[in-house]
Amino acid sequence: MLTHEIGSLAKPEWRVKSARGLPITQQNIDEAVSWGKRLGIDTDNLVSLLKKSKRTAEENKEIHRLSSFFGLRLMEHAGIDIVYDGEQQRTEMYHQAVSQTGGFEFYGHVRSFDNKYYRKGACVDKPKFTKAYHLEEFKQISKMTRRPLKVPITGAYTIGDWSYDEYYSQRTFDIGTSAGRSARKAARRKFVLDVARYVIKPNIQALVKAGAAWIQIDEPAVTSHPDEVPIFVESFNASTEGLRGTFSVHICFSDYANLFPHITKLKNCSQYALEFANRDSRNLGTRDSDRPGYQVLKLFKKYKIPGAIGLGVTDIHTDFLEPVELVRDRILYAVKVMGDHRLIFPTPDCGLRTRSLDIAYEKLKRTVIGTRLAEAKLV
Amino acid sequence: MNNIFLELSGIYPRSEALIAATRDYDRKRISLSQLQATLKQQQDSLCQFQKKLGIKVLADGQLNWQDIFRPFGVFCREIEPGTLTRFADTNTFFRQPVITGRLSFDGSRLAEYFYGLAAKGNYKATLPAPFFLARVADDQYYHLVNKLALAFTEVLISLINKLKQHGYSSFQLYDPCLGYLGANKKELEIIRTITKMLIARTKAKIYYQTSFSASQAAVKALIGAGVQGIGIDFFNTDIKKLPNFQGKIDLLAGCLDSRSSLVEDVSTLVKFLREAIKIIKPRRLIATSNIDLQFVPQNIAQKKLTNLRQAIELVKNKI
Repeated sequence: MLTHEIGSLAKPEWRVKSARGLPITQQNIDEAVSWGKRLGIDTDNLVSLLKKSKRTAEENKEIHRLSSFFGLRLMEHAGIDIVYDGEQQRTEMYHQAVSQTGGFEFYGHVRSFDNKYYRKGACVDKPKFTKAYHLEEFKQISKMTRRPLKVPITGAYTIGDWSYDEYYSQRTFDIGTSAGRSARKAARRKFVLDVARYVIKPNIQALVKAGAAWIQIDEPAVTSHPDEVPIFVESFNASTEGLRGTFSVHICFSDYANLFPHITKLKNCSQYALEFANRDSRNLGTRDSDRPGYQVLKLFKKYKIPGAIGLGVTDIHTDFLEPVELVRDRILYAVKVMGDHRLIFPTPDCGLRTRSLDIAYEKLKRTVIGTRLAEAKLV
Repeated sequence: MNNIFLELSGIYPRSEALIAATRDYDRKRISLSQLQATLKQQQDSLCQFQKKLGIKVLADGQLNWQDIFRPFGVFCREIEPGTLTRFADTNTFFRQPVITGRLSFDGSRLAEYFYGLAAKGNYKATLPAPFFLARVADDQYYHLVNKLALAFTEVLISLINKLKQHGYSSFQLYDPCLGYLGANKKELEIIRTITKMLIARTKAKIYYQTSFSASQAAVKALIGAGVQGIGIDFFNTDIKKLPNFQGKIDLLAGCLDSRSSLVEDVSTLVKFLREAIKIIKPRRLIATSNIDLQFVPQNIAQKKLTNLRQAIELVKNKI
């Protein structure tokens, strides 16, 4: 069984501070050196860059590149099979995409949860592809490793759902009427499909052309409007139509039952990477009652969904370090339900950016060790 | 019609200053007392803004509520914050309430979460409806939605009776699940029964706020429960499909779309308000947002409310 990660890792302080032009402390440098030693990275160049009181734009770019290298090595060192860089060069999955796409403007902050916020954009004109915003990053990372890469890219539905729409729905203001509601729904579909065709597809096309073999389309928001799952299906198909490569989807923290039966119409989707551990018990065992978080797998089986499962086996919202036996049992249960170990790709639930690098590393390592334990049981 | 008012509902967006303060506090750059000072300043300023808009029943905006359930973890030891759960169709999350034991109410820390307790004025509070909490909770104790809803009703009764003693005059029970997930006949009967019980034991003005679409059956059940008024999301409900209130109860008309940055123009709002009065015939019409305004940045929320104030004036003056 192959392991992979989902996307983001926390950015080291030295990376954050260099991007913001803040002074880098000796403690930040020590942290870089310590992780360098742990991961077998020569940090001389990085340290000399960090020690400079003023850096050029090129030097800051080099720091970002080195941060990618650290992210990538961290995953490799943990033993992950299919890797990327922990999105070290990106700001945030939504902001990164929308800020480099024509037709959007950013407004103020909106709360995501607790004291976490994101800057929400508004579509004010027809979305336009302006540049392949992950291309440079992919080219750099592909030179850093021999392991297979999986490139995460934010999907069209999520961009549509997380943005305000002031362009497509500008004439749908009627309040208290069914006509107004229908017009807003039609506007939403048009908005998402335009993002898929004119923004996401050209981005994927550029990555495929540059040699990206596997693109993961991140659609965390898919099931939040159950009646809009068909729009997601259309947008995924439109984003990948006519392209050659491996395409998968990542969905998390929502009710996956809403995906059915709509996803039977997904074309070109080779894997569904989902969060499960967050909703599971911490008890060991492979009976149904031991694994409440994984029951939805039965729906994949029932609807004969072609494609593999990216199986979330570690919870990214807590510092709890899953015992490797728990990871093992989650995998064994999934294999039992799906009936074929080749359909299971163990992963963390989602990107690990909310965890410290120490915790993230441990969780990745446990994902790998748990997988090896499960394999041993399956032999 | 002169019985037309403006009110805020639920959690109001935090200002950029408060956002910065909460972030600074999380990163240990400022102390708790510095954060609380910013919070107080923002609550004061929100009340001033409401007074400028002519709002009579003030809301504190619940600016320090991390979500609609979180403070109940303080009022009830047996409600613990659980996993992050996506809130309906918004790109936001709440901590699923985990019910670990028999619910009991502790009112010793109410002042931290209800600004009106320390300020003078006429306040309203938006609280989670019992059936809403019961449907989304991870219930490890009661194991039955009805039982948990009933137990949480007891908590709300104690809370409302306490708040009533300190200037709170109006209570809005918030139940987005009613529209988002729907409710069958049996569930509507439970909602009706527990709401009736809550009203009987608090003698308070209880409004039941639905979000997403509101069915005729749900509205009829709530009228039967004896609520003061019903909140309707008019971006998801056709006004013509609702029953006539026959002047018996109030309409909390959700006519600002909290999920959209487009600011509703005054003429559209005027047209809607006139229609609502004509078709629904409420006792009083309280114009508000369709769900918490926290889903738009504060400057947009302010523009929306300002336009709604203007629209109300035009309707009142029959212009």
